[in-house]
Amino acid sequence: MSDRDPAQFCRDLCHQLVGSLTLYCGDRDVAEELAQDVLAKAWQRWETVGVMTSPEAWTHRTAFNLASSWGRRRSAERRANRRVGVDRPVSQPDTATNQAVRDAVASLAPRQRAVIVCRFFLTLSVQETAEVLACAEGTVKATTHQALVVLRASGLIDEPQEVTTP
Amino acid sequence: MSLETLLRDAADGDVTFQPDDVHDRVRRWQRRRRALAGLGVIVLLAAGAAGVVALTGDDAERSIITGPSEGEPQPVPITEAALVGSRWVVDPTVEGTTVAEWIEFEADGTYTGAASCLQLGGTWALERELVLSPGPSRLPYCPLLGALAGQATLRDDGSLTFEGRIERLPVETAVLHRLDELGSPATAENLVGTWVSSAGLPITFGPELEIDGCPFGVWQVDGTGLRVSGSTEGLACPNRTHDEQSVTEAYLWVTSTSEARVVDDELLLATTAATIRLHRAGTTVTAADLTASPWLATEVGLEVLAVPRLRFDGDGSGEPQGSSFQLNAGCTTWSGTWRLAGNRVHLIVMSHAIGFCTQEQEVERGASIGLASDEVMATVDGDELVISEGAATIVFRPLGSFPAPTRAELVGPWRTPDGFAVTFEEAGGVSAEAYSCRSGGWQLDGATLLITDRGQNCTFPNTSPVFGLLAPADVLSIGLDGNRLYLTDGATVAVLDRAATPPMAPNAAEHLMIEAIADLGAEQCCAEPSHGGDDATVGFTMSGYDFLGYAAPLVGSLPPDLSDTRTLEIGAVMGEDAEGTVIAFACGGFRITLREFTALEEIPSDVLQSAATGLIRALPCAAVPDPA
Repeated sequence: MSDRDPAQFCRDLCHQLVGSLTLYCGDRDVAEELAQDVLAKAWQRWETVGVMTSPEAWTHRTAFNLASSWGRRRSAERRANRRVGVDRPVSQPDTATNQAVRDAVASLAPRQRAVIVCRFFLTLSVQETAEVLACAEGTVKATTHQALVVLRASGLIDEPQEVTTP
Repeated sequence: MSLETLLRDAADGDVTFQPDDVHDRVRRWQRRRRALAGLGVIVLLAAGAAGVVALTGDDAERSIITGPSEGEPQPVPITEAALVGSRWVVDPTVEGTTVAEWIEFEADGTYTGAASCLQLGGTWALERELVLSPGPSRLPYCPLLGALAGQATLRDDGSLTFEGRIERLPVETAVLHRLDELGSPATAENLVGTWVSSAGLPITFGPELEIDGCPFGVWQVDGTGLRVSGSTEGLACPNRTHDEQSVTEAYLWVTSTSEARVVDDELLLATTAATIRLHRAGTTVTAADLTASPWLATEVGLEVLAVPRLRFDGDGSGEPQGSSFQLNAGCTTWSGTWRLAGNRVHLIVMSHAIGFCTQEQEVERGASIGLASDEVMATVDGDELVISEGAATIVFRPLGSFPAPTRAELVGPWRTPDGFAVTFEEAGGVSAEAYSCRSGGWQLDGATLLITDRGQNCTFPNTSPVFGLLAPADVLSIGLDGNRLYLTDGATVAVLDRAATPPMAPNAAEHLMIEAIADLGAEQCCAEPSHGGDDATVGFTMSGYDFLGYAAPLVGSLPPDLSDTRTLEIGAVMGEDAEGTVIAFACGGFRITLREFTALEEIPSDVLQSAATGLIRALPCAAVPDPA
């Protein structure tokens, strides 16, 4: 049984998870909805997840897979719209730049999106990214290259990007 | 502004963890799972699946799972009469072990029982709800203990559910049933035969009681229960295969049984300290049955990777470190833990990874096979493992169920699903004609293919899994299914189809590149070599960088769409296109381009030039024409 408190784990990860999913989905309301789903999964399986080497990696991986599912995304959007309409004030409109960034990232293929979020938002290393996405490190490198090419073509970035972690 | 900063700004915003919301989701999923569990039983019964707990028409018997007649089972008031009189057993269809968890309520307000890691004991009381007060214990926490601390609900299907919580969120749930309402009492008729524990220890009720093939006395069962008259002298039996402690423990089970119930192919023994669950021999699947070889969905084709394959490791206990499965369906791989109960395998999906596929390939392959749920139940019937999800049914067969080919059947030309030729030669060599490469030798021994010699300077392409097996592997298991041959080293499964037509002619462009890369001493990497028509793409690693080489018949001049071009001394042209820096040159009627394959940072131009120089020298080029 894990010694970590699942509630504290969820509190610590929540902000980062919503941020990742906001970039991945291009929509913050949907991202918050999906983040709650993911945290509920982690909570429900805490007996197993809590003793993993990296519960965070499992949670991020689950988040990306969840977001990739079209059906879940649509129903989450509907629930999010209902929530926004009843319980929550409408969020402040994004700046033009922020929306452009989200649109550019959301236009990437799912695996490219996940790699960009992991490498440049979560600042994970190649090895850590490979662990989150359960793929080979070579795949992470190749996918990063392809994603950067697309982002350069979109005009979002001009110059080759240096990553702060190896 | 860096990409990191852009992303951070775009993702920023206020957010707080909402525990109530999470709580509602977990409760919703649990309700849906209970409803689906009941529905799943009905579906499997309709399909006639063997070994599933069956609903009986006898009013005196009740099945372990009584699916809801209409909607979910409804709560009913908890009374002392409902609780007292028989022990309550945790739903044995969930547990995969011999020793079941249980609790027994006494009329004097005390309770006893056993969880997975400790004995239970304390007092109970019916106030506004059922309240359990455990006795003092310094033993470790168990999930059942956590559940018993929560809210109890008795339902009209006879189940007693405990939901434990932390900060109002459900964390542990236990569903129990009264033992005296499960199946039917053990009788001389239904008890006769051999019953097996989860560890494979057999207990036979025949002319005498036998445990692990050794005699332990006589037995009888009547209205007072199961009685055994014997001794432990049977431990000295030469037939014994299990250890003395396990056999002694089994002897204690049958000699201290206060109540025995038969539930279809399960035998439940209530002893003083434990509740034992045994399966009728021949009706259960062991973990070894599942881990012996990969399981293949032979009716589903997946191009290069040929068939979806399911591999089990571990003991089927459901523990993450002890039981793992992986289902590979081409683009997507599902992995997680598995739990074996009788002939049912409970797959708990922990993650799925989407491989390097286009969206179209993902959709196509997802339509052929997929696991949509996080928890999937598979049933095993002989040589078939069936996963049913909604309207989709996938049937897997173990590789070991396919007969081994004879030598005569193996000799001859074969082809990988993507068209590359492999020939098992009469003289004992294995050749891959597309690459003029010949491995040393092979020997066939029943269902085992032994590669005896790896050959010299033989670089197999990494296109199909079969080449990865034939090059480095020594011992492969093989099976023949008509004109399809399966090979595996236990981890990787490859497929060859008997070639009815001459093998595909090698693509000259790829042959050119492969030979040059091998001559350079570089390693292929990064992407599968590909050729569809006259052109080819090959990735390779050199000097610590990954390169992508592309060759195509030279038509006209070198690509006109390069910008910022300059001609190098080696006769190549360096320039920029939409994807970055490129070096292009002509060689032997081909146009070859070289670029970076990965980019966390660009390859220095001198490294790119060095690679191009090496490639030009390695290739059989005539005088390099003027690229202009």
